[in-house]
Amino acid sequence: MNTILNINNLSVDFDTEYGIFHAVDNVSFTVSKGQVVGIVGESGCGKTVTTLAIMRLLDTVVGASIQGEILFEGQDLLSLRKKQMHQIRGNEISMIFQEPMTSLNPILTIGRQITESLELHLKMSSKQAKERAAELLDLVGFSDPYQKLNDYPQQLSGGMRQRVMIAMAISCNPKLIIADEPTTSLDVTIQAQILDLIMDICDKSGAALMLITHNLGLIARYAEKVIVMYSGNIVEEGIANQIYYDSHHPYTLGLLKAVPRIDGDIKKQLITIEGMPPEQTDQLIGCSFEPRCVYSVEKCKISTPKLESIQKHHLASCWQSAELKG
Amino acid sequence: MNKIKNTEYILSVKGLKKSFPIYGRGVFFKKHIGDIHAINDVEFNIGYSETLGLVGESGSGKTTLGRCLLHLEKLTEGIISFKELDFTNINISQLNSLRKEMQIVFQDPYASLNPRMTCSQIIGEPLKVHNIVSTKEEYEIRIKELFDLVGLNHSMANRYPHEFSGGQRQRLGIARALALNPNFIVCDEPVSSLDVSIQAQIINLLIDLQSKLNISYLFISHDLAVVRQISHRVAVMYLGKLVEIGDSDQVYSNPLHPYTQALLSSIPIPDPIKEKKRKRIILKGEPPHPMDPPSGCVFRTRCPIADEECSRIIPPMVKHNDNHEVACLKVS
Repeated sequence: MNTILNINNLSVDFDTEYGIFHAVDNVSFTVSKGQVVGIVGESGCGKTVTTLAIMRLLDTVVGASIQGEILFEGQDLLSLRKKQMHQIRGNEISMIFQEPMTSLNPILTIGRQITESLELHLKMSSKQAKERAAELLDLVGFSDPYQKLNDYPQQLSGGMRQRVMIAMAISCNPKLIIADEPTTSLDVTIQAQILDLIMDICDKSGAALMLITHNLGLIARYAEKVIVMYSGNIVEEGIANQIYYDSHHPYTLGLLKAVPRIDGDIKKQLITIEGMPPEQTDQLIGCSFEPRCVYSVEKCKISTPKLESIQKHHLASCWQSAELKG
Repeated sequence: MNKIKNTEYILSVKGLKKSFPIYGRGVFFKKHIGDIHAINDVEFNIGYSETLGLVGESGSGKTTLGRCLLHLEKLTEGIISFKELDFTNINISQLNSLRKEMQIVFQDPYASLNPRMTCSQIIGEPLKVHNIVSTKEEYEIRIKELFDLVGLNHSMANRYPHEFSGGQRQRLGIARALALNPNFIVCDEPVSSLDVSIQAQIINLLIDLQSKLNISYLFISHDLAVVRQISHRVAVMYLGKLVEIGDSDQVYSNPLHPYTQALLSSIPIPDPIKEKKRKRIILKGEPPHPMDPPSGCVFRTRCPIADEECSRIIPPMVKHNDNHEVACLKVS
């Protein structure tokens, strides 16, 4: 398969008053053309920071330092100049943010916000851009697109705002769409509508999708490849079925057991992962999951496991991975 | 307070209505231009040591319902009786004594704890307000008990809320609610802001506490999977109305109302093979505004099986069997 995005040894550190915070620690993965990659993990595990680094949105953050390579179609995004990045951001890679309530500009009409990137990237005239914006709104399910162009974001409901975000994201036919928790703030019935819409659009345009979420159910439904992150590291990576039925990392196993489900028998008690994720300011020796891990042995405390191949496409970073039963 | 004969239930609600007036600009005074019907004719009971799960989408009136039960909102109409006492129209001193028995755990553990109070002050405040303890020693002992009960380390008692993680804060919120030994707690989305692994810990804690202390819960959540884990019975709410109520097993294994069916089918299961095979009902559109609910059945505008009859008749709650009721004309 042809790779569209190739991330090599990406590290993002933030210099805080409490010390260096390792938000993302030596992460590498690839996204192929048209592939749906799910990234799952708890808050603070570095999933959002990874996407912000890809979009080069951390440039203006004081104290952030980024190392590594982000190759998009062979071009290292981190070495691009600001102007070159403008050409790519929103055009070739676009992003759907988590909060449709706050990520739209409240003082511009929806029409203006969609046409902005059309005029900038595709050099459309304002009339053409308006036509195209209406088409896009129609595509994402608005019944009266021309009228809606003149509305302000606060006149719309959460689901409708997220549709506008999607319309903006797909406006320039991007090759990669990054959706960061696109439905977390929406109701379940609306969530299903929105995600089906995103998938449908990706299918038709052949765009690759990075779906970032903490919801294991959504990943199961949509993702082909799954990346599990914990405390700034990738702990497991593989095809969806490998992760869900044959997991080789205790964190993934723990997560799958801890999720309440609407199918199967009700367990008397949910199986929990004791404790809390570590503070990433401490320089950890050994595996970062070790303090919470039920399978931990002496070796886990003293040396850090590397992401190693289990079988084709399947990687896990655990010393005990051979002992685990999925 | 009137005695109502009713011994099975700790709480029962009849014909509950709550509407919020909306005012527009008038000539001299504000003009009343309409009402938001947050709760419309709701009826249910909660038994002793029972958990009733209340599910629904945002704006369906779940939180308002929880607040009405605790008299944090004034009812527009209806009767609520708690432990055989009708407390629809009670005065403040009576209410204060009732408050000892009913408490609430809020959704956002970041906003519901006073940042200027230490943890022991937060948990101890109800003890002082209600004069539960007489001496300082008793007070200290009770606080230590509460810390142990919710699984927090007592050595953290003098810290401030910002020093705690989300899960620990939610434990503090639960400890505060437990301080007065209540029989009934409204849990308003207690785990929705927490991560999966922490969420499971809090759910287990709530289940544990229930069996230890015989508390009844009204567990409000939009997450049906969480509700299934903790509830004995489940009520489904849509636009201010109950559309289905019944034993948890029955509602989840055999949902009768088209809304419940759609809700359940849109929750993804963490199991790729099963999930990709599953049939889903995707609802069209969004819920109508509660200021102007549709005539007849409130769900008919999004319902896949609605017909002309549904716009005329308001479907009554009908018993499907002993432990399962549904409000839909099309369910036979």
